Formats: sequence, structure tokens, C-alpha cells
Amino acid sequence: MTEETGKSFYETGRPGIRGWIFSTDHKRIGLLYLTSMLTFFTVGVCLGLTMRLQLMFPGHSIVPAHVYNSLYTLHGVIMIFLFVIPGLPAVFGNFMLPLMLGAEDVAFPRINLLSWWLFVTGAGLALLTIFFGGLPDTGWTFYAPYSIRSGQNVSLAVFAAFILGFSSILTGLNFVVTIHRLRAKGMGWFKMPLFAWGLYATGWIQILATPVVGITLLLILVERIFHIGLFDPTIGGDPVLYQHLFWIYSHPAVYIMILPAMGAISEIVPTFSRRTIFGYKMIAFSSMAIAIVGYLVWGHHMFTSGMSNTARAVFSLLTFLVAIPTAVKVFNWLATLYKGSIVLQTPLLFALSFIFLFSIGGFTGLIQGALSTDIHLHDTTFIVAHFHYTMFGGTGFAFFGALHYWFPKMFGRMYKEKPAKLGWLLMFLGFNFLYFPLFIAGFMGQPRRYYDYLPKFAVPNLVSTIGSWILVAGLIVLAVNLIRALRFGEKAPANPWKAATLEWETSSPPPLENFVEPPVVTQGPYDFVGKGLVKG
Amino acid sequence: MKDVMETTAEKPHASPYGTYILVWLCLMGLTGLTVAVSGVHLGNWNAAGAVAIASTKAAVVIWYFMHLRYDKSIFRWMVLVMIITLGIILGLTFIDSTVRGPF
Ligand code: HEM
Repeated sequence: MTEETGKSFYETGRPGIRGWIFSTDHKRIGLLYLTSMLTFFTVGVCLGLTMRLQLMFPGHSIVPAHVYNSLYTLHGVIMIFLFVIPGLPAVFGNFMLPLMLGAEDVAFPRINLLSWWLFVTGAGLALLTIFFGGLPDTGWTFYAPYSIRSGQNVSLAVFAAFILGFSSILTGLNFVVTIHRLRAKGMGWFKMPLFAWGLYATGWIQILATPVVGITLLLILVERIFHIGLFDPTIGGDPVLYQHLFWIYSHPAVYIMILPAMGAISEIVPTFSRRTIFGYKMIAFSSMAIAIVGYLVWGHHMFTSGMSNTARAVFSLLTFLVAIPTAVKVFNWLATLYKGSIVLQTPLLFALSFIFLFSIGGFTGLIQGALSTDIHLHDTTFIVAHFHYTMFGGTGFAFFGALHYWFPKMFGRMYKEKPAKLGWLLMFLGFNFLYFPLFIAGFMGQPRRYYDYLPKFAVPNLVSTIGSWILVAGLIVLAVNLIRALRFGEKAPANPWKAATLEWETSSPPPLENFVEPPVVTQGPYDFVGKGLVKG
Repeated sequence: MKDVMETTAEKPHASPYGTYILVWLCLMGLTGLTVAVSGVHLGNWNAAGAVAIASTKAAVVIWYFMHLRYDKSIFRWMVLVMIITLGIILGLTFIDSTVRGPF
């Protein structure tokens, strides 16, 4: 142990910006990701608001059609590749996983830093399209043959996404190895916090699925440059093959987005109901089950693509399977809350709204998973509502919940509870005003990815746009509250929420080496009674 | 950190050179077989045959040259997971492309 014992990781290491961007400390890398991702999120939200403003009334108002096409593409690319996919693993996984396992760092700290550099490089390249060749207008899915013919700079954008893929693979690899090798003494697999289980399942998907999209995006590039007839039907290619390859990754990728979020919820729920989690093993296994079944269902994005009828029926059937492990988790969370001593603080509010919103997202997913109904709903705003409910209402809310949960540990400060709750309320209300009307408009037949619509869709669209303002007001309240807390917040104790997992046993913020003494684990991760946090 | 480095460090070669030479000869033989089979007209089965031989060769390389045979069983499991995943991906893609009718 060095003489620097007792100092937090903020006070150790190289000073200045270089101490951050070249640091291999998992905590600093987590915070690097946090700042870069929140920056991109802010940009994405601004693009979303602009689109909603255009859609406030029927007809052209602030942006013309071709700009709208680039707006939703950029919004989608940013939100998917730069916000929800790195999502909770890159920020909270990096910061918390070694702490939760009682380790000093992740298994490969330098690869960890490399993955952040790849992330910013990929992001930079994607944004370069603004200046070179024009923003892509294909949608975030880069569907062929349009992505091959588009005159915009699709090449650079897909190359950027290719690089981002590597960042994701390296993070996943790092976490899988860390979980296998660096658990504290005494921490068997089933004494591991459930967030770690979520990251473990996610890590495997990242390793196994991401290479597929990497190659696929390169094939788009090759097709654009050499016209060899892979996906372009005019020269003998098969555009449906592109959709297969794309969704082979991108459907498992939605589980990359959601599994760590579910993991975070599994931490928050027991802490704020002061009860051990109900059905620990079932939650852990259901993460793995989701990861596995997630590979079998990609075809449900392609029901109207001209895919064979056999494949459509098989994929529709398989899709319903995913609902089972997901429901297992939801019921276990609810059972944990039942007869718990619930403390309704901000992280729990986010967790509860996660369960509510994600369930709506999940149930509407079943409507789309059924072949017959999806034919009607495909490419309508119903889909837009569905995936915002799952990705934003699910992962997004879990992200903000996790941020409020771990904020004291990460920054050593407490935020104010009242403004946080107000921010949450505005966000929750705004969210539902923003997206619920889109279910209705979509059901009535409003297509997605259009800058204009028929007058009969006017009411739901107006409500939706007003909802977007309420939501953003909530985001601003939350942001101001947290930024204020960074400077003026009360000092956080080591364990402000009386949680039972390991990260709360070290000081807030933790020292460079995480624990003064390497911890030895004797109890389960949610043993509140055994740890003396609640009376038995 | 250190822990990981130590356990994955290079182990001494676990089998005699004779085995490697045998494996190499086997690979050469299979290459010859690939060439020979391509001359026989089997329709769709030509591709299937070529893929089967190539997979056998890859398996032998992974098993002996890449030391999977001598490694901990967890690595064997991990490779198996990759192969199953690939199998699923190919299988489900083919239930579309092999039976797709006119639109
Ligand atoms: C204030 C917040 C947000 C607003 C106002 C918003 C609004 C919109 C709008 C208007 C569209 C285009 C719909 C269309 O014409 O098809 C859209 C598409 C999309 N949004 Fe959002 N959104 C927000 C947040 C998010 C978040 C947090 C995520 C991800 C976690 C996200 C992911 C997407 C994706 C993937 C698309 C599809 C892009 C495409 O069609 O290629 N959005 N959003």
C-alpha cells in the first residue's frame, strides 16, 4: 500500500486532462464514457425535438423532407450506437463491476482504455459526415439497396459504426474475463450481484454478435465502392440477405441494451425495499436465457420483407419465447417489493417506472411479434412508440435510475431529493405524452420516417410534440440538480442507501485501488439482515 | 491482473513433434481430397462436401495446433458456444433463402 492511502481516485494519478484520457483506471474510464455519452445524448435529444417540432402540425414547417431524413438517421445512429449500446456497461459496468466483485480493476485495463478511444474515434468519424459528403439519409438500419445508391456519405457512416463495434466487443470481452477471473475471495457465481450477471450475459452477446454487423457494414462499403452484387438486386444481389445479416446482430443488440438495465434494476429494487431479491437464481438464469433466445428471433424485423413464409412462421413463433424469461424478471422484482419496507427515493422511482414502461414496450412487442398484426403495423409510428418505450422507457430510465443510485459513490456527493423527484415526474409524464399517442397514430396507419402526415393524424402528433417539451423540462431539472450536487452537494457517506453489495463497503468516492484491504465475501449480495443493515 | 497473466502464459508443448507432422500430413491429404471431389459432379452436394472437408480441417487445426485439446475444458466449451451460434445463424438464414417463393 502506498502513502496515498485514504485519498480518493480523483486525488491520485496524473493531473490535468491527460490524467483522464490516458488513464487505465476503470473508474476514470467509466466517467470518460459518462461525459461523452451524455454529450451525444444531448445532441440526440435536440435532433428528436427538432423532428417533433416539424411534426407538430401537418405540412412543411421547419425542415424539408430530405433534411428530416438525415435528422432521423443521425438521431437513430447517435441514440443507438453512441448511447444505448455502450449504455450502462460502458459507464456503470466500467465503474462498478470491479467494485462489486471486490477487484482492483478490470482484467485488461489498457484494452479498456482502447475501447474508449475507439468509441470517440467512431463517434468523430460519424459526425465528420456533416462536413464531408453529407449526412446519411438511410435510417440507422442502413437498408440495402438504398444505402448502396444513396448519394450521401453512407460509406463513412458505416465505417464509423464498424469501429464502434470494436469498442463494444472489447468492453464485452473485458467484462467476461473479469467476471471469470477477478471475483473476490469467497464470491462464487451465485454470490455475485445481479448487475454482474447482466453484464456477463451482455458480454457474451457483444463478443458473439457484434462481428456479424461489423462484416455486414464492411460489405455495404465494398458494395458501394466495387459494385460486386452482394445486396443490390440490379446486379444479382439479395437485399433481404442484408436484412438478415443486419438483424442477426441488431436484434441481439437490443438485449445488449436491456440486460444491463435489468441488472441495475435488480440492484435498486432490493436496496430500496430492504429485502433480499426474490428468485436470485431465476433472475440470473433468465439473463442467460434472454441472451440465448435473443439469437433466434431476428427475423421478426423482416415479416414484410419478402422473406419465405416458413421463416416468417418460425420467427414469429420463436419471438414469443423471449417473453418468458422477461416476465420471470418482472414477477421477481414485484415479488421482491411485496411486503418489503419500501423507501420511495429517486432511484426506486426510476426503477418502478422502468418496470411499467418496459412492460408496455414488451407487450406491444408481442403485438408486433404476431405475424398477422405486424403486417398492418410494420413501419408505422406504432413501431416508433414501441421501441422508444423499450429503449428509452426501458434502458433510458434505467440509465437515469442507475445514475441516481450510484451518483454518491461515483462523485462522493449527495444530490437533492426533491428536485430529483420533480425531474423524474416530469420525465415520466412527458414520456407518456410523447410516445403513447404514437401508438394510436400508428394503429390508425401513420407511417414512420416521413416528415409530413395526413390531417387525420393531427391530434396525436400535437400531443406528442407537447409531451416532448415536458420530457425535456424533466431532463433539464435532473441535469441541473446533479450538476449542482457535484459542487455543492453534501458529502456522501460510504453507504448512503444502506445497500448490501460490495461497492458500498469502500469510501465514496473509492480510493485508486478500490479497497484498502481486498474484501473476502461470506454472505450473499442481498443479505441485508446478515450485514446488520436491517433488523432480522 | 497478474492472476490472468500467469494462468494464460504459454505452456510447454504438450505433444511430441510426431503428432504435429501427422496432423500436417492429414491436412495435406484433406486438401487433396477437396481438389479431387471438386472434379466429381454432385450438384448441390459439391458445396456441402467442400464445406464439410474444410470444417474438418479447421477442427483439426484448432484441436492440435491451437492447443484446444490440451487446454482447460472451459475453453472447449467457449469454442463450442461459438460453433453453435454460427450454426444457428446459418440454419435460420437458410430456412428463408432455401424455401423463398416468388413474391
Ligand atoms: C427527447 C427525446 C426523444 C425524442 C423527442 C425522440 C423523437 C424521435 C422521432 C420524432 C423519431 C422519428 C420517427 C420517424 O419519423 O420515424 C425518432 C426515431 C428514433 N429514435 Fe427517438 N426520440 C427521443 C429519444 C430517443 C432515445 C433516448 C432513443 C434511444 C435510446 C431513441 C431512439 C430512436 C431510434 C432508434 C429512432 C429510429 C431512427 C430511424 O428511423 O432510423 N430516441 N425519435
